[in-house]
Amino acid sequence: MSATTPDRPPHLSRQPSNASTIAFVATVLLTTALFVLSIYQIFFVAPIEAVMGIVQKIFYFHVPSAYVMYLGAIVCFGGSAWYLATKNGKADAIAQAGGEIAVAFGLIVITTGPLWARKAWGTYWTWDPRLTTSLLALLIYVAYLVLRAFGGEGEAERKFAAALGILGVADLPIIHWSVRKWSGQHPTVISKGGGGLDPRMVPALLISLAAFTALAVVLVWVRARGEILARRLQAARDAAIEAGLVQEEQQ
Amino acid sequence: MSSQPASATAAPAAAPATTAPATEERGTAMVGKDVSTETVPGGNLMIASYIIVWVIVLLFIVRVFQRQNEVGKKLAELESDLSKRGARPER
Repeated sequence: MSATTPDRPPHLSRQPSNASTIAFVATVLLTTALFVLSIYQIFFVAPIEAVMGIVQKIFYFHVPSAYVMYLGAIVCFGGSAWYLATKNGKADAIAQAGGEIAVAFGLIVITTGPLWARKAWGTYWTWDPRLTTSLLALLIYVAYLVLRAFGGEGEAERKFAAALGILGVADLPIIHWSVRKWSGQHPTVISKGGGGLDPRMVPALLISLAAFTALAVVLVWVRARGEILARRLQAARDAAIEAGLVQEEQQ
Repeated sequence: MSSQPASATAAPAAAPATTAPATEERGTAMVGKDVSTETVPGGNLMIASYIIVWVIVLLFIVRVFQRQNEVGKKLAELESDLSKRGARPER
């Protein structure tokens, strides 16, 4: 139900459709169900790992968090490229939402990993290639968000942020290949050359990956929509100022 | 000559077991624990890890809520400004 009437100003004509609301609620419900199922699988079905013990269960949230960090970075990349090509504000909002997801889940990766490492390696942190490149990726997206927050709202600033959003994604293949290229201590259980997972651990990991993907979709959706609405409001205010209906704010 | 080293080595070994160490000795006896022999409570680390995940997700949601409030306030200001000028904002 797209509420577009001829007498409404353009900045007020785009209302969320019923289909979009239903899709959003369905995604939230799916996310909740997947998390409940993943927690059941992790704690009641998947066995305790023979060498590391119960601490290995961090794996089921650590790996999907890293995957969602990648996903956020890819969304940021896509939105940034789209913005640079079209100057579409919606694309810029999506890029920003992607950057925020990359930082939130990067923080999860960089804090849960050391807790696991404390038990597995005997130390919280080591300058292993994968750990170092993951930290670098987090710092790139923190820089991106700092630029968004304090760099201003001008087109030049948005273009600069978009360029950073595109360059930031270059670190992802480096993280992925770092284990093979430079060795290091980080496990390679599920990638090429790894010993593989116990079959009873696989469903817990797959469901957890699905749950985190659904959560990422919900968060990007909410953040991008909020950002788009904020920009539409700003555009409406600018239009009101231009029409002489509202006075410009004193700085 | 031969009895002197024996008594010299025996005395420090026996001292800690029978008498409290002197203040000076306590300050020079700091020995690190070998990490490989340390027992780390894996369950605690796992619980801490799961708490961190949900705290970060929760903080993200709170931040989204705060931003929506900011947009709501700006919208209310715009509506108020428009109504002062006699314009009727659309609902």
